[in-house]
Amino acid sequence: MPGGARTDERSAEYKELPWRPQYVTFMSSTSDFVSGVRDVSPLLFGFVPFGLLTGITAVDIGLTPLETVAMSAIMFSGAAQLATIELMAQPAPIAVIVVTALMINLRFSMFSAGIAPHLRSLSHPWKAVSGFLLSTPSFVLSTSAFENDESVSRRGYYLGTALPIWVVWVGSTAIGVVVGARVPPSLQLDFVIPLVFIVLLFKLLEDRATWIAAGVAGPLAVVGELAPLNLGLIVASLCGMAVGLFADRRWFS
Amino acid sequence: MTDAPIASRVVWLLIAVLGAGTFLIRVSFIELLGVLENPPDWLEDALRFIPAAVLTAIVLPHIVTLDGSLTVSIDEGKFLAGAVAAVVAWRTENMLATITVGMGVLWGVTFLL
Repeated sequence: MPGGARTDERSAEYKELPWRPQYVTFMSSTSDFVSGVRDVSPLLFGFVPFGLLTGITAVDIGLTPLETVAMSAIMFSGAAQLATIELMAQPAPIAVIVVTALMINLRFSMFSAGIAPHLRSLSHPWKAVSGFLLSTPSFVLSTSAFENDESVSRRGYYLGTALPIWVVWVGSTAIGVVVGARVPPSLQLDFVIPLVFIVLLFKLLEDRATWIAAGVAGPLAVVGELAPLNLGLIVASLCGMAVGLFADRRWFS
Repeated sequence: MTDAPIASRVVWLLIAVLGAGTFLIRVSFIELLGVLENPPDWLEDALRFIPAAVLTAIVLPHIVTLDGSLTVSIDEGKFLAGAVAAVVAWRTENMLATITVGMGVLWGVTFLL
C-alpha cells in the first residue's frame, strides 16, 4: 500500500473485513502517524517563540543550558515552566513553586479525561507515552479525528500530533538558550514572562466568571506579597478560583 | 547572566518533582479510566478558573506593589508597559505583538527616565 494513501480511502477498503491482518494495522498506524504530523505542522510555528522565550528567560535568571533544556524536555509545559522560572528568580520557597506550577498544569487532567476513552485500547507503556506528550493541540486534533472516523489508528495519529510538538518545544528552548546567553541583563528580559502571561490571560478570560476569578486573584496577590513565604500567591489563586466557581453557579447559570 | 538564585541541586529536584507531578496529572484519566469513569462536573468547572486566577496572581504584583505601611507603589516603566501590552493583548491576542510593544515601552521609559 502506498504511504500516501488517504485515511478515508483505506477505511472504506478495510471496513468490511471482519478481521484486520497484523500488517494492515502496522501500515495504518504508520500512515496515520504521518497524517497526524501533517495536521499538527501548521500549529508548530506557534510554539517556537514561546520555546525561545523560555530558553532566553531561563538562562537570564541563571539556569544552566542543560537545566533549561531538561526542564523543557521533562516538564513540557510552557506556562508552568515560565512560572517556575519566575518564582526561582525571586527565589520563592520550593513548596510554593511546586504547588503553583502544578496548579497551572491541573488543566491537563481535563484533556486527560477527554482523550482517555479514545486511548483505551493502548497498552500501558503506550498510555504512559501518550500521557507524557499530552498537550492542547494534540487533544483537540485527536479527539475530533477519532470522533469522525472509527478506523483511524489511535496510537499512530495521536503520536503523530503529539511528538512533533515536543521536538519543536525542546528544540526552540535550546535555540533560546544560545540566544539568551548573549543578552545583557540590563534589557530586563525577565519582564517578558508577565507579558506572555498577559496574552495567555486574555485567551482565558472567556466569560464573566473567569474575569471575576482573575479580578479577585490579582489584587489579593498584591496584598498577599506581604504574607510570608509567598503563600499569598497560592491563597489568592485559590480564592479567585472559588469566587469564580461560586459566581458561575449562583449568578450566571 | 546573573548568578543562579537557586542551587543546582535544588533546580534538578524541582525539575524532577514538577516533571513527575505534571506527568501524573496528564496520565491520570488515561490510565485510570474504568476506575474513574468521568470527572465530576464541579471539578471540571473549578479547573476552568485556576489558570486565569494563577496567571493574574503572578502578573499583577509585578506591576503594583504594596509596602508594609499599605501604600501602593507603582513602577512607572512596568506599569505603563504592562498597561499598553494588556491593550495589545486584548485587541490582538498576539504574543509576538504584545511582547514587542511591551518591551519597547519598558525600554523607552527606562531610557528616558
